[in-house]
Amino acid sequence: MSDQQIVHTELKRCDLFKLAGRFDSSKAHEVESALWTAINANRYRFVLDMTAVEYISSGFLRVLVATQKEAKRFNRGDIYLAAPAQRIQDVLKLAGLDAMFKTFDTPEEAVGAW
Amino acid sequence: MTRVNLRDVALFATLSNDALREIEATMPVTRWPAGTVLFRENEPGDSMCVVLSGTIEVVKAMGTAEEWRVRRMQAGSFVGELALLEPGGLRSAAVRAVTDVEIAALQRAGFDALLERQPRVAVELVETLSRRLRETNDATIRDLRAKNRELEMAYRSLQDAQAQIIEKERLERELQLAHNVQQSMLPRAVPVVPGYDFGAMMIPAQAVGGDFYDFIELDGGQLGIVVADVSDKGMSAALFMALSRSLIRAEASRGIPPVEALRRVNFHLLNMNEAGMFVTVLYGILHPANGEFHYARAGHELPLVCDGDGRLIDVPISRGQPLGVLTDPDVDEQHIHVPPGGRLVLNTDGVTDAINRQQKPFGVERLRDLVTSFAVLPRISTQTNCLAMFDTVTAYCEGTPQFDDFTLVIVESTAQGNLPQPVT
Repeated sequence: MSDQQIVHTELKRCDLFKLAGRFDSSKAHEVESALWTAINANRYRFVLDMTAVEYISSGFLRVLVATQKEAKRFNRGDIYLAAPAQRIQDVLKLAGLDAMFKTFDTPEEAVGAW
Repeated sequence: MTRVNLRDVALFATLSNDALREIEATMPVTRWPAGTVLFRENEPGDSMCVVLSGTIEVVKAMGTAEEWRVRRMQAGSFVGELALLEPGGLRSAAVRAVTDVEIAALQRAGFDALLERQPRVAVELVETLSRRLRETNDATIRDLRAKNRELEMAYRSLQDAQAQIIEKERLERELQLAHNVQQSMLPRAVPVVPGYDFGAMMIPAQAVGGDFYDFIELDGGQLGIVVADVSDKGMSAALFMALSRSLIRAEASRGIPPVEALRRVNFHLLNMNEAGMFVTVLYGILHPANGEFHYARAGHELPLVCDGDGRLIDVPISRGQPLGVLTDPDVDEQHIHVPPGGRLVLNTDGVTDAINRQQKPFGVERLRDLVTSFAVLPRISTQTNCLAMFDTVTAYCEGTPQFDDFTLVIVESTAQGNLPQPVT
């Protein structure tokens, strides 16, 4: 597993977070603080590249939901998901959260959508 | 390397050439490699040394943890005179060659004769001794101060460490209390319903968790069954769990349909949820008379149902979303049937997400197989069945620490299906 599970890149129109590995409760908190660092810098348009994500916990779902709520306030942004594996999509679907997040096949498409 | 003559040595500066030649003749010159110990502390001394070339060092308590280098001395200096000033005098410190050295040694007899004949040498000696005494005093005080500071720092970090231990123990006590409080929120015993046997357990990954289950007795002999999982873990999840559990119990006790109960709970949660916490819930009402289980599923794991032979029965599914985040969540409402002799298994994702050393999750498939396998084994109590399933998952994990709360509720129909019921 890579040491760097969260790689943040500030792009012109949005912020890209490349995630890798397993996101249990404590790792989900790291994603949360990474996203909140961006929000505190008045950046609200996010793309999460989920290509290499193997597992997400309910804690990760909470981070998605809570951060999206903050990002979408005043129509200023949102969280787009890019290339989640089938089992990640299944988790989102079982939790009924699949419809809440725009999902794209590739990070390029997700970034391009901003 | 600079080499000095005896003439350059301050101690002999006042001697006439004749006198110096006379004394030089009594001082054999020897060479020693770096690292040689020229003399040791507390051994009798019968000569003093003049360093002609190289560097030596004077060391107290050599070779011990308290080893202290008193001073370094270059060519032109002399050492070892103290032992010669008193009969039978002992070395007050060790002397070691730092580099290769050349030493001229003056024996006790020569030293005594020199002092007698050349009072200026004695004066020079006293001046040197007095200077060294002062330097050593200063160094000792500096050293003592440094040691004092070290001690003070050590004392402070010890105090800090002790405060941390006390704080840690306090937190652990609080967590243990919180754990006890949370466990006491779970049903003390499984319900007793004729024709059914129940098993239930919740093992938090940390002292407190976000999972819970509940059994609620409803009118008409019906039984409300709840399994829920608060997003995240730890204290925040435990507080949200307590809130959710009370709300669900209050709404369910009104005897309203499961979907309506969960929608009301959602409404309450929305008004007190700044942290974005949410809870996935499966709440259903069991009708013991006919085995019907009418449930509402809000983003929670699907129930598993099997018949008396362990054959799994597919459950219908529609979208169900967690409570606490959306104003109007979709709730998956279904009516299913627990056949006579069959089982209903409700779980949280802590069961299926448990991982082994290869980080491979236990998974839904293994859980399904496990449910089937227990159905065909000789009958054990449903609570024992529950514990055995936990043991199976634990064994699968091969010692990988449990990272998510583990909740399992099993409802087993003990009716014999088509077989005649014993008359009681």
